[in-house]
Formats: sequence, structure tokens, C-alpha cells
Amino acid sequence: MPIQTDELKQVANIYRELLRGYHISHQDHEWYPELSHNQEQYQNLFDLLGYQLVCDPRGFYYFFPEESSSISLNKTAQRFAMIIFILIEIYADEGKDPQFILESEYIPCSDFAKIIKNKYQKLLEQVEVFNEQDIESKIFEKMVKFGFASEYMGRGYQMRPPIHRFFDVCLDLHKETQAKVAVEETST
Amino acid sequence: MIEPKKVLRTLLNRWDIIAHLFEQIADSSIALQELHYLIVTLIPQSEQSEVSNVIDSLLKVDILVPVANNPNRFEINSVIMEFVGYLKNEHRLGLSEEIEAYVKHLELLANKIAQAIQTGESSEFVKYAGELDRRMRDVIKKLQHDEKALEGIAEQAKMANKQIPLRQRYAEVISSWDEYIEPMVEMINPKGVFDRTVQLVENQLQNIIHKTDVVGFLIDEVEIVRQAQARMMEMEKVAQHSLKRGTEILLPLREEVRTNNTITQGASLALAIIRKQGIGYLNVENRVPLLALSQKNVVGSSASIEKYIHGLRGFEPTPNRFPSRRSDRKSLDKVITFDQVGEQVIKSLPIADIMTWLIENYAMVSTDNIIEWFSMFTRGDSFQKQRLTRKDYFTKTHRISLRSYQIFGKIYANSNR
Repeated sequence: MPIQTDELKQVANIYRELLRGYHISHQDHEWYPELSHNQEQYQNLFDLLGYQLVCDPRGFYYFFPEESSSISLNKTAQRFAMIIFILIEIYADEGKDPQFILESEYIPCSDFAKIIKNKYQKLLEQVEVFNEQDIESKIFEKMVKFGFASEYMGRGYQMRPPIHRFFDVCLDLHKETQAKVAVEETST
Repeated sequence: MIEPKKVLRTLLNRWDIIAHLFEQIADSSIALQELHYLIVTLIPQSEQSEVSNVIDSLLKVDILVPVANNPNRFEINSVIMEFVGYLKNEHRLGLSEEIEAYVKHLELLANKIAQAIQTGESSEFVKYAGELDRRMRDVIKKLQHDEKALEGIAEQAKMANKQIPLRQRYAEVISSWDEYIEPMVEMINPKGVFDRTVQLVENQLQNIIHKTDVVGFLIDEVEIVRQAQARMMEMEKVAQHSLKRGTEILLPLREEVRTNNTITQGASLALAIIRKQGIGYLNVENRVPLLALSQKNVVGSSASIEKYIHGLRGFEPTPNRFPSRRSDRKSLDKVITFDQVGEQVIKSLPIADIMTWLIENYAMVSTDNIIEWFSMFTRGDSFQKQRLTRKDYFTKTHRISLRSYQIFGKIYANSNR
């Protein structure tokens, strides 16, 4: 399919953002509309350049990395996953849904104390997060850099649709556990 | 017997109160005192006698009826409820068992029609055929009404306050799915009650038509039977469409609740695994790989140094042949001098991009010479020039990123200086 480059006005900016690992979602007003209207063209263009553009139907785009490029980000991914799992559990204990993380206006910085002070402290130490400042600098600020969150008026952080990637981890774990249980029941 | 016009007139005159009662007590009843209070709030400054007149007018035309065994509590007449619901476009989901009961009754009516044909009783035939047609119309109306009700349930669920947990918000969606959609799917599937009854009634009707064709008996009534056949086909089509539509409306919401619950359970599972076996066991970095821009030629943080060293492990130098001292090979570079290039430049002026010009005209020259000539032409004030934007240039061996120049003309030195 021929690529109509004159329709891809933001291609340089979009390429630059995706290349640094950023996830573009609908809150990125300057890039998302062009990506979503020209999705196939962008996919073809990036494919020619050797990149796999993932177009997630839940409203975000990112480059799927080759194996070699993600070595240095193990800790980052682990920290992101840890905070998402913890937030889901905290909000579930308050009677709220996981979707609440996405749909709430923002997660206030004052909630960080709640996270660090109770049963999650030892868990966070596993990913070298030791206090509220670490939660902000090592997790949430990094989440902003990768497009998983955006800062909210200095009061907290608003989560973005790409955190569905971590919700998917929860779904997969649940499925794997159910499958294991089913196998064990069949064998007994 | 209540006069229809009186009912309509009361509905018109007391619509505000009736609509309010519909909102408040559609599925329940109201005590006399509460009713009294409601009317006072809706008609402020009304006197006691006026309130009593209003209540009387509603009771007289059976819009409100006393609850069985409790004359001090009242409920809205079910027929009025249905009519008001229709007018307000508010549909309440019926029971799947109601449809099943209607459908089973069709079978009974078809048998009675067949009997009437056998005994040759034309009046009985017309009576039961008419009732069959009416019943089928009732089923169609009920299915369409239920479809609208499902749309309303889904809308309400989606518009509900998002602070309320999903399971609560979607409670009616889940119960509608379990108590209406699933039984209806079973009923309407091939070999379900609906399908079996429709087949049976269709066969009966077809036999009747065949019999009257052969015997020439009750020919005038054959039209009624054909009409019933057509109605039956319409009923089947509406049933399948309504069920399909209901499923389309509710299934995504039901799945949302399921997914929600699964995510919560999955997160707790994940944290339990992390506590027992450590975060590394979950293999998050492979489940959610994040892209890091590969910086092959730049080292910065310790992580990229590690990666660089890791990359060096596989490094193998490419063998290179050094030229011998007495080599007869003449390098192309020795043939061309800077002065010669300079003469060509002057002849070619103006030049839009000096770097491009050098690469195009001296493609076989080594990159260092190209760069050296570029530097010499663009240094100083020998030429009138304008700097261009940074871009990449490609020699036969290298990619160079720089800001080139457009050269307009040669500046000759002033002999008087």
C-alpha cells in the first residue's frame, strides 16, 4: 500500500516519542488523532523501518521492543507492575474496581504514605523502593516518561489507558492459575 | 364497568401525580398516609378536601387499587402501569417464563383449530384462529418490549455513578442475563420449547390448508390460516432478532464485570506470588516489555555501560589489509588536488548545497578528503554563503550529519587592502 506521507504531518514527533518507549494515548492530543486516523499507514511505515507498532484497541499505541532492547528496563517494568497490583488491591479493599484507577481523577500523592506504611513495604523493597519519595521518583515520574501516567496539577498522578498492559498480566496470571488447578484436578 | 373516557380524563388531569407514583411505587405499594403526603408536596397549599378528592378520583377509575388484604395500602393497576410505561417509554423486563407460557398456549390453540376443522364447526374455527393471531401478536409485542427494557437497563448501568463498584452498578445487567437472556437462549435454540412449538403449530396450520384445499371445505377461512402462518414467521423472526439484540447489549457489560473481578483476583495472586517467590518469578519484563532506545555508540548510565560491555562480548574485528610501502596502486585521492576542486566549484556556482555537490562529483574520494574540502570551502570569507539546516549526507562509506552551505558566489580579495 503506498504511504501518503503528506497526511502524516506529525510523523517525526510520533516516531521520536515511540522510539523512546513512550505509549501514545488519547490524552496526547497532538499525536493520537493522526495516529488513529492513519493507523495502517503508520504501521506500514514503521514496519519498513523495522519497528512493530502495536495498536491497542483500548486506545493506545507503542513500539513492541525487540528482545535485546529491553535488558535495562527490568527493574522499571517490575516497579510499574508492583504499584499497579498494589493499587488494585488497596482500592478493592475499599470496595472500588480496578477500573477506578483509570477512571478516578487522579491518585493523590498523599496515598503514597498509605502504600508504603502498611503490608506493602516489604514488597516495594524488593524493587528498591523504600519511601514515599522513591514511589514518586522511581515509579510515578518514570510512568509519566513512558506514558503510563500524567502529572495532575502537582497533586498526584492520573493513570492512562496503557496500564491495561498490567491489567492483562493480572488476567493472564488468573488464567494460568485456573489452568494449573484444572490440570491438578484431572490428574487426581 | 368503568367508562373508558373517565379513565382517560383522570389520566390527563392527574398525570403529574400518576407519573410520580409510577416512579416511586412501580414495583411496590404506598400507604394512605404516604400517598397523602406525596399529593401535598405535588400540589402545595392544597386543602385536606382537595387531597381526598384526588385520591378518590384515582381509586374510582381503578388507576390505584387497594393491595390484597391491606385496604390502607395501594398499588397502581397493572394495566395502567403498562400503559403509563408505554407512554413514558419505560419498559420493564418481563420474565422469560411469561413468553414460554404464551408460546405453549399457541400449541393449545392450534390443536383446537384442528379440532374445529374436523368437526366442521366454522364459528369455533374462526374464534380460535383469531385468538391464535392475537396471542402471536402479544408474543411479538412482549419480545419488543423486553428488548427495549434491556436497552434501558444497559443505559442505566452505564450512566450510574462510577464511584459505585461495577458489580453493584451492573447488578441488574447480571440478573437480566442470568434470568432472562440465558433461559431465552435455551428456549429459542433449535429443539428448544419455542422452536418445537413453532414447528408444531406450523405443521398444524399447513395440514389445515392442505385439508381445506383437498376437501374444499371452509375455503373462506383458509385466508385466516394463511394470515396466522405469516404471523408465526414474523414471531419467529422477532424472537431471534430480540434475543440477538439483547445479547449484543448485555454481553459486553457482563464481560466487563467478569474481567473486573478477574483483574482483582489476578492482582492478589500476583502479590501472593511476589511475597513467596520474589518479583523475578513473575517475569514481568517479558510480559510487559518496555522499549529502550538502543544507544550503541553512547554510554551514559551504568545500565547502558553494562549493555555496551555485554554487546562487546560478541565483537569480532573485521580484517583489514594495510597498503604496502611500494604499492603501485594509485589512490584516486592523490590525483585530485584541492585547487582542481576549487576551480570546479567556481565554475559550478551558484551551488545549492556544497556537501551534496562534493559527494556527487567526487563519489569515489575518501570521506576524510570530502570533509576536509568542505571545511576549506566553508571556512573564512572566500565565498558568499548561507548556512543550511542540519541533515544527513552519505559518502560511499559513511553517514555524516552536519549543516552544509549554499554557496552563491566567489569573493575576490580587494587589492587595495
